Amino acid sequence: MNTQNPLIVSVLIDPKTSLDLNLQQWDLLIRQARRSGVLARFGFMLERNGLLADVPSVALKHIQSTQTYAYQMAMSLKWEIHCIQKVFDTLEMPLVLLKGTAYTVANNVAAAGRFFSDVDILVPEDRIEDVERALIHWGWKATYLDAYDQRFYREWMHEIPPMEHMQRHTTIDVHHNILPRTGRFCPNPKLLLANAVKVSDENAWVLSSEDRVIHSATHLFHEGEFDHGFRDLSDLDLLLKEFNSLDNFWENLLKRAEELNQQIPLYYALRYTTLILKTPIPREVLDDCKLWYPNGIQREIMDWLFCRALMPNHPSCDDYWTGFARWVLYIRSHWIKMPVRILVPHLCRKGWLRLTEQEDH
Amino acid sequence: MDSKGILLQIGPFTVRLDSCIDVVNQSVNNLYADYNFFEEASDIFTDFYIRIDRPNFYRGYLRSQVQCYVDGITPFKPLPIAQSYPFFEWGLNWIIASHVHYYLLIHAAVVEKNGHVLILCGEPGAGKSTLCAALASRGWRLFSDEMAVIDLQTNEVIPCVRPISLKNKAIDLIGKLAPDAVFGESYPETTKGTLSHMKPMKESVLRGNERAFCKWVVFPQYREGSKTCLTSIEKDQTVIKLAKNSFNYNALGSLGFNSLCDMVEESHCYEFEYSDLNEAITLFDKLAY
Amino acid sequence: MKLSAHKEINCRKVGGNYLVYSNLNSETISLSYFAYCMLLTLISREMDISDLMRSQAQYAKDLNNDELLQVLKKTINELVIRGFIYKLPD
Repeated sequence: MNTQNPLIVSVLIDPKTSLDLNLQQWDLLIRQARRSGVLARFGFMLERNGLLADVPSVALKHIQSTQTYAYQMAMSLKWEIHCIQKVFDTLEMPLVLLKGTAYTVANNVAAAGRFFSDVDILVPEDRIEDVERALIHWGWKATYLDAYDQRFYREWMHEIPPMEHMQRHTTIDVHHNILPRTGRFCPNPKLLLANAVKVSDENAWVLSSEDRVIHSATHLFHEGEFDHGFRDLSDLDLLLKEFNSLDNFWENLLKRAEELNQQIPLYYALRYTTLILKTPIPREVLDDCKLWYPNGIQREIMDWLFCRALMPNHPSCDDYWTGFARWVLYIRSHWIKMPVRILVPHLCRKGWLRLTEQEDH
Repeated sequence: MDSKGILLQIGPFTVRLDSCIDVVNQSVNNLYADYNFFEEASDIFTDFYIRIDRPNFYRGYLRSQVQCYVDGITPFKPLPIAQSYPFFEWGLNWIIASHVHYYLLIHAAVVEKNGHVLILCGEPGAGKSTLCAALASRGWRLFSDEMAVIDLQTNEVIPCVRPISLKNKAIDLIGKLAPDAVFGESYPETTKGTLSHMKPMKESVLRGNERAFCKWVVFPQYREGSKTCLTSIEKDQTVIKLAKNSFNYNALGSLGFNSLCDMVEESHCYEFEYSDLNEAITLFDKLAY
Repeated sequence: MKLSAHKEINCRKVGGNYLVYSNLNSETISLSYFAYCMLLTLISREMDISDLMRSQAQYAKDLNNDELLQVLKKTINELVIRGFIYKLPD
């Protein structure tokens, strides 16, 4: 492991450390931040801390560039949500938004400077067909998938295949749970929907604050792709810092993790936000959730793996073992998502598609 | 062979190029000979990092391919190794278009005379690079053959001087029009046909920091056998056409819209049809006086 | 039914023409003087269709009431689809 934190990690922990950087260091910092998707967020942190005037102009241009782009993305997202609300008005059901989209409509600190690709929503499983039909009526189409991928999504996963709007070319992911049904720790989605909160006069709902944190933790620590791992960790850091001021937040968070069977992802979330980003979490909370993970040796192994995999996805932040750590966690994520009888053929197929360059992602 | 990095100033950008492919380094050292080169230092901020290299043993040696990396990753499909140098130019276009949202960028050729900028905007194949090369060989200062770079605060057009890409017949045409012009290698069989690059005039490079305001926005269309014809077009149509041809208009919000409107408000806007380069040059020279 | 303009739009005159831009979806379109005036009105305040018709009549003096309503409806429809204005719920 690098004995020194990558620049972007240091400045997110304490933006004032950016005051001592020379131009070459700013150059590297901008690249690390851009690659991990936190450059605009870093810009907003500098602004909030009154440090923007101290940024060298050659670096500031890049920061402002990404902020401009992020702002425009947020505008487009607003429009996209407006269009989806029209669909849900006809369905007469709440529009529950997830992940980055949720942070935006809820005005969370984590929304500032965040980039979005798709809109993620959560609907009751018994209404999935209605929702899919309505989206098609309003101009979305199912993205083309072969028979295997269709089955993969519909039978095994927690979402239907992504749908793309024919004119706007935006994508919507319709989830009926936050984890695949084939997974070992699948939570009860009715509990999530029951606690959802309305965040505007219009039809826009998000998961409760505890559930937003748990979902973010679940997504990060069950998914095998770490392209946005550092950004997702930073999301968690910002959510935890923001919700810290809510009454009984920590108590509710731990209780909720047990209700949803997500103790392990939450343990990881609290552990690695503390270790990597120095998120201020009450000592007793960390001690309590450590009880969910008593195996000391396994804890050490996961620390070794995650402290590498969650680093910004830039070569300057890697050590010799980073690639290996990400690969191990990739296999692990599939292992916990699906039983072996599905996992092995699935990984073989993915490997074959990558080798013959047929895979898009 | 270890790659030796080249660090140079291209327009408003500081660019680092690394390549193990000799012809890439040679072409850059030839076509960018008049530019400012730097040594790496703690007081240098590099805007973009490009690497042109063989991707791996299979693609690099068995299939003779080359890849363009932007700060270590690549958004491109590999290309034949013969196209290594053009890959650098295409890669640079891509990085600028996808990362630079502090300027408004329009797909256009840009030249300047008497302190006034002429923006030549058009689809590929419209003949704007050829026209641009012709004007640049006849006393117009080259700003860019590919990209109009506009300051969002002041609406000034900023030079981003680079070798001019010419294709197919245009290579010979400009070669005849400007016998003193220096050309790089010829690259047959690219997706756009045969490609070659004309070294920018030294004066354009040396005056690369001098900005100017736009006076004319022209949409050229080369049409074989046609008469040389300049027709006024409405300013609202000009704004819409320029927006459609912009690399980053959708990322800039109202700032981009207002900047474009302000620029068009102060410009004369035309469609231009031509088949004879010399007549075209004469017409634009008259316009500039 | 009341109409309102999205607050993220930008109308302006360029040369002798009129344009509108929406920050929501980057749509940029050319406007007739009639549509331009209508948008400026809706930017300043919400309005129902009958009030809008009264305020727009001065820009279409050569049209009778039916024709004016047709033009108004067509303009409204186009601007709603493209994301410049929206209908407020009753």
